[in-house]
Amino acid sequence: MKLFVKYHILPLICGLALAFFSILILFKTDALNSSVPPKKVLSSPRPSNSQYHSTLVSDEKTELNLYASLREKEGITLFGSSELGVTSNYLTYNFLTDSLGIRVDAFGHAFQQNFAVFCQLLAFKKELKDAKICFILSPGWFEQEGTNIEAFLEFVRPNFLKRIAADPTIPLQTKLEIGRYLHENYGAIENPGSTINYFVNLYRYRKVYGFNDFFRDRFQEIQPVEYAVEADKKIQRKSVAINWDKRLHDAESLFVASVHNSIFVNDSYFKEYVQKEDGSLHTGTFSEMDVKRNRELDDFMLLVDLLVKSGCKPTFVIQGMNPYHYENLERFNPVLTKITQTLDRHKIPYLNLFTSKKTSYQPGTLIDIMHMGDVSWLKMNEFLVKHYDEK
Amino acid sequence: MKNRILRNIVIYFILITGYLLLYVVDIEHLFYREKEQEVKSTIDFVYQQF
Repeated sequence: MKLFVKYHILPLICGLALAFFSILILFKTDALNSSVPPKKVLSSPRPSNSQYHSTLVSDEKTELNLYASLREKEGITLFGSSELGVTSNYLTYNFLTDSLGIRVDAFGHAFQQNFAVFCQLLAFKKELKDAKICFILSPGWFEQEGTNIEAFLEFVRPNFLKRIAADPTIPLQTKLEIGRYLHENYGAIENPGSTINYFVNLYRYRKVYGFNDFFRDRFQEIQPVEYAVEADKKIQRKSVAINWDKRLHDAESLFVASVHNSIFVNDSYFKEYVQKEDGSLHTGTFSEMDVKRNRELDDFMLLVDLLVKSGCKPTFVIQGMNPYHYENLERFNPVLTKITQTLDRHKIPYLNLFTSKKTSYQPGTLIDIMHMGDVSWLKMNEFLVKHYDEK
Repeated sequence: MKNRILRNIVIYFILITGYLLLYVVDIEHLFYREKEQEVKSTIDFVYQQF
């Protein structure tokens, strides 16, 4: 044992100390720095005509749609998740554009949640001032452990991460938050590349003397990315008066007339997912949640902090869930209170479509157990017009 | 005896420095500007309607 300590443990400690100090000396020189790569510019004469952009992954130029939407201050940029893909005559990005001439560009599909949206907006921090941005929140997000890594990588594109890394105005603490997330999910990332590794190392070595400064300064080696569109997407405003109350009443009546089940969902959905073979019904239950330890709520706070500091014009819509299907929906109420208190404190307008009680649930709010129906879309459209357009 | 201790110090120094340079500092990127490879998740999350 004594010999093992003498010939291996002591040399290991000496070797480790020498290696550590050698690396620190190398950090002080330029030996480990590489040159700044040339700027990458993504440009297009004009953004896409399409109003709904479910993904940004197909082509780098799809990223330009988000940039163009935030840059153009008359229209609205809408972030959501699975509800953006439902069928409805009143989908905001179609209805407001077609009926009233208000440009709405919507981004997202299932699994896009607060942290992914936060990072996308962080990448376009300079374009946020005075931008009209609406966020659809789903209560179900708060039952999970934050944005999953597949969704993060799909929506927070490599070019976005490069912009975040290279932006000296973004606080170190914010970059460390991204580093924390990527570090926790590192095992699930294929081909991470130097930009993701930048964030991961920033987080991993944040407390190691010498290493923390070295990795923090490495942002200078990350390729700068710029976006440019020559013409904004402008739409002719239409002077049309909409009788919102009548439309809501009609939408609810139509929906109630069209369904023949006890939980106010589409009949086809009811038969496929809710009704069992013996005629009894599947029920759901909302998870218990701890307001003090909720990853999605923390991500929501990060997002709100960014919105407040950026000078944009945000609004929120909180989706409902079907109280005829779900038990224990009141478990969401503490989180909902935290969300609404935060929005009230920052004077951010919101529309709350959630209720845990059957007695206050309006049929047509949802088409199934969790996705917005015509009634919700109409309420949302009215809310956005009254807030953004009639002021 | 002293030579053996010194030899082991040098060996450990080279191994640890090599590890730090290759895997922590990622010195390879200085010599090989990386070709952009698609970043993706190794896990596919399946969306459930119900």
